[in-house]
Amino acid sequence: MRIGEAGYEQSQDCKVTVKLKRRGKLKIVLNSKMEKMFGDQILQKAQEELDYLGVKYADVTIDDFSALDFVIQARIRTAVRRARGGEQDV
Amino acid sequence: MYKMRTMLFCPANKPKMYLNAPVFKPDCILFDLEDAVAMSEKDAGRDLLCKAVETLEFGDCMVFARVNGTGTPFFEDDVRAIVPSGIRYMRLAMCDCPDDVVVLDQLLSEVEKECGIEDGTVKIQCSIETAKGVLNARDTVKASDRVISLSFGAEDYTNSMGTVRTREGNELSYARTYLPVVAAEAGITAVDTVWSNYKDEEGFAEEVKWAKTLGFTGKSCIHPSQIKIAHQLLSPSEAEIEHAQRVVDAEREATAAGIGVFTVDNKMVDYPIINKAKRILIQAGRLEK
Amino acid sequence: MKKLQKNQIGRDVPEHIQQMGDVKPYIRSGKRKEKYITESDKVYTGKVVGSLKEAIVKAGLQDGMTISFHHHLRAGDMVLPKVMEAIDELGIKDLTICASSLTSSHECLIDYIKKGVVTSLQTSGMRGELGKQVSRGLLDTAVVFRTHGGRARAIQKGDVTIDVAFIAASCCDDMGNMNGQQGPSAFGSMGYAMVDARYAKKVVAVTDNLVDFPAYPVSIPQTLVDIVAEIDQIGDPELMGQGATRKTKSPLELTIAEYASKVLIASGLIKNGFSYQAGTGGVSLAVVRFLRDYMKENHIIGSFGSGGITSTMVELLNEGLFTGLLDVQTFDKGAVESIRNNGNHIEMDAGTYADPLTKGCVTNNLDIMILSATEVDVNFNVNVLTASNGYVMGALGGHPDTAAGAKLAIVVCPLTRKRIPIVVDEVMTICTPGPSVDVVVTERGIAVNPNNPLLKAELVKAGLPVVDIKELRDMAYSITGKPNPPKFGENIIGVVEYRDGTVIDMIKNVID
Repeated sequence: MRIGEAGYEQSQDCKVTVKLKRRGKLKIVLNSKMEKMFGDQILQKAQEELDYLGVKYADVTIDDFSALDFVIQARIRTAVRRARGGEQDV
Repeated sequence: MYKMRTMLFCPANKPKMYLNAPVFKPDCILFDLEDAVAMSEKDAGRDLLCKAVETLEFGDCMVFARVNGTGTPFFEDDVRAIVPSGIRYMRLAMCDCPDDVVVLDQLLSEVEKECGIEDGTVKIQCSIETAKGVLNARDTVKASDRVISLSFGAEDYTNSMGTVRTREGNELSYARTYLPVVAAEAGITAVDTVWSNYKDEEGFAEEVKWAKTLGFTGKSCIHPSQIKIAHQLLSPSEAEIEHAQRVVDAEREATAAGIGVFTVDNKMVDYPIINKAKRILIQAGRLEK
Repeated sequence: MKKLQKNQIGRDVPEHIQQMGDVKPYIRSGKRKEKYITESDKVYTGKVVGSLKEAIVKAGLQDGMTISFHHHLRAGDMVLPKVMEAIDELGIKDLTICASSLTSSHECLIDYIKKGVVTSLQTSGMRGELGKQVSRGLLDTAVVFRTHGGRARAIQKGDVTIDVAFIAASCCDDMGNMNGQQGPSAFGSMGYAMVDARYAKKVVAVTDNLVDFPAYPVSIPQTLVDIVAEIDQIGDPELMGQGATRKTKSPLELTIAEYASKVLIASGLIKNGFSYQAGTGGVSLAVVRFLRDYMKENHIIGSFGSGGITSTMVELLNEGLFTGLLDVQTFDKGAVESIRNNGNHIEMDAGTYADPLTKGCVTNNLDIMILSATEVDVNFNVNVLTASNGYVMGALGGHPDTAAGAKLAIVVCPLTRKRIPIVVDEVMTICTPGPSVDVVVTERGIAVNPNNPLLKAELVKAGLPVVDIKELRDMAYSITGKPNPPKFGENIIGVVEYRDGTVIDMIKNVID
């Protein structure tokens, strides 16, 4: 399993952990104080980004500290690239 | 000439400033991929910058990215990532010689072609921050038509000189006197170095005044509180603007009437005066460049 | 010849005269027993008791009664918790608490509510865990949220009858003359408690600083006080001013403050004799500092500053920029010192401050009020009570009173806080109605109430970034996204009373 991490556990940032797998499902776990208010939106934006990056099988954990969507997407992008070993540019 | 009185530094890997930077209304925002981002985080800074530029509004601010120098392993990735995201202004760190600009210029042309952007769209600000860079500056800024501005970086410059920065800044006097001349000759904008101790607003103001005297029209800022001060000091006064407007109006009337020589306030107006008036109006945002 | 009767001291007096009807003959035998010279050299006033329990018993507190507290000690208050502990030990139940406000020092109420000691709350607001639990339906009754002016009105008018008022005093004598200005727990003005003292059936002064008679100055006089209870400490002065008087360095807050000060100047109201109230919080205090520079530069002297008073306003008083300060609540040490030492820093009771049904309250004479907001909506309605997740986490304070009274009521708030939009379609809870709010100032634009077209024109003329409030909302949502509303149940956990006693909104229970 290839693992990539990005982001920080800081206000308005988020920490994203991506575990790429060969098969199975795409599972996204969101931990956020904003979950009730923005959980659907965050998950949708995360899904869009993962689709764009062509990630089909992975465990993705987002530890969110009130980040805006663009931050979450950027951190996912970095984490995926790192999980892929950095070579495959997205 | 561009209106670049202030360039607000924002570390590219910190989410917070992306949203707030335009609120402080700097003329330019400079997202820094170089010194402000750790070696191991260059990829993250780049991704964050790209996503931000694709998503957020920056109002009237010119959005710059400071890319890592041509000699670094990050340079090409920086440029290839941020042009497609919409960045149109780049500050090239460590511009030591014309070749640095040429390398960036060629890479930009390549990337512009790949992205279907018109050749020459992305503009360059040369960051002059070494002794070598200062001495080569005159040729460096002419190495590409993309160069619209130069900026002076005092931290690395004093390093290269074996001196240290002081509050008075005498150690910078040669570079500071020389670079505005280079900029003036090339018809580009000269932006002065940062003032690091943002709590010392008096020192900052003194430095801006001195930089203005030498011919700089912009200042790099590391804190939002510096923007207002720099704008006040680097903007033409109401009286200057009013006079400049009358000169430009008089010129237009004279041209329309086919008169060659004319006066404003009983003083004969010639080309240097007209050009100066236009420059003031551009700085005041009253005249398109 | 009129009929006569002999009184106790042996004189004949008429049985009846026209002016009095039946005449009551003198029957007392002399001065009160405790006044005779005795072996004890201590004059026994009959008021001082050594414990809260004694005070409670002596006050005749019974199940089902209403008791009151003030919140002048804010987060440092120890009196409410200590009184409640004693009440619980005495086994008294089913009480209503009518507090001027509830703070983080009052979380013990959760337990007393669970035990049935307290069954009903009336307050300006509440915070923290108490707010959370109440929002989830801790109480069977709805909390009545009142403004500072509204509370004074309700007490005076008899909408609420206080059976026993427990009044923390940092300085009190054995007759019950008291103030909040002296002693180790000094907190300044007793503005909110002064109303309770006048109208409560029984008044208990609670002090940790019993001084020789006469205590001076007298904020609440002995004529109103039944019992004086001495305890070891009434409050923690360190916790009293927490957060309220922070000097902001945040560039964002300073940007908002600078816009707000430009609005003030453009409004034309900053001139000799103007009156002003600053809220607490970083932005509001930063506005005061901009205002001060402007007043100095232009040689303007205001008449009075009012409301909750901070050191920042005291500085302006000391520099002669205001003639006086009217203080209903003193926010920090510097301001406490000022009210103690400066004759122009004047204590003011809550009725004088904001009661709309008196023959004149100070808020109605205000020129300018700077207000904060938890949320503001496109109709300029303001919420200062509930968070975007539906939980009670704030207080009405004098917000609705001052907004209604001031000629110019300016709300200062950031467009977003972290990921939460502040300018929204519809506020969670309406505390201050939109028609009383004139301007909303954010870091990204200024919206003027359409009721005020002249003001709008002035602000545009001054080159300020005036936009429609709907644009502000759109900007906010474009940054944060539009949040899902919280899930509410069907129980009404609170009603929001407007200053005149009418109900402006209600709050339902939050379902997790």
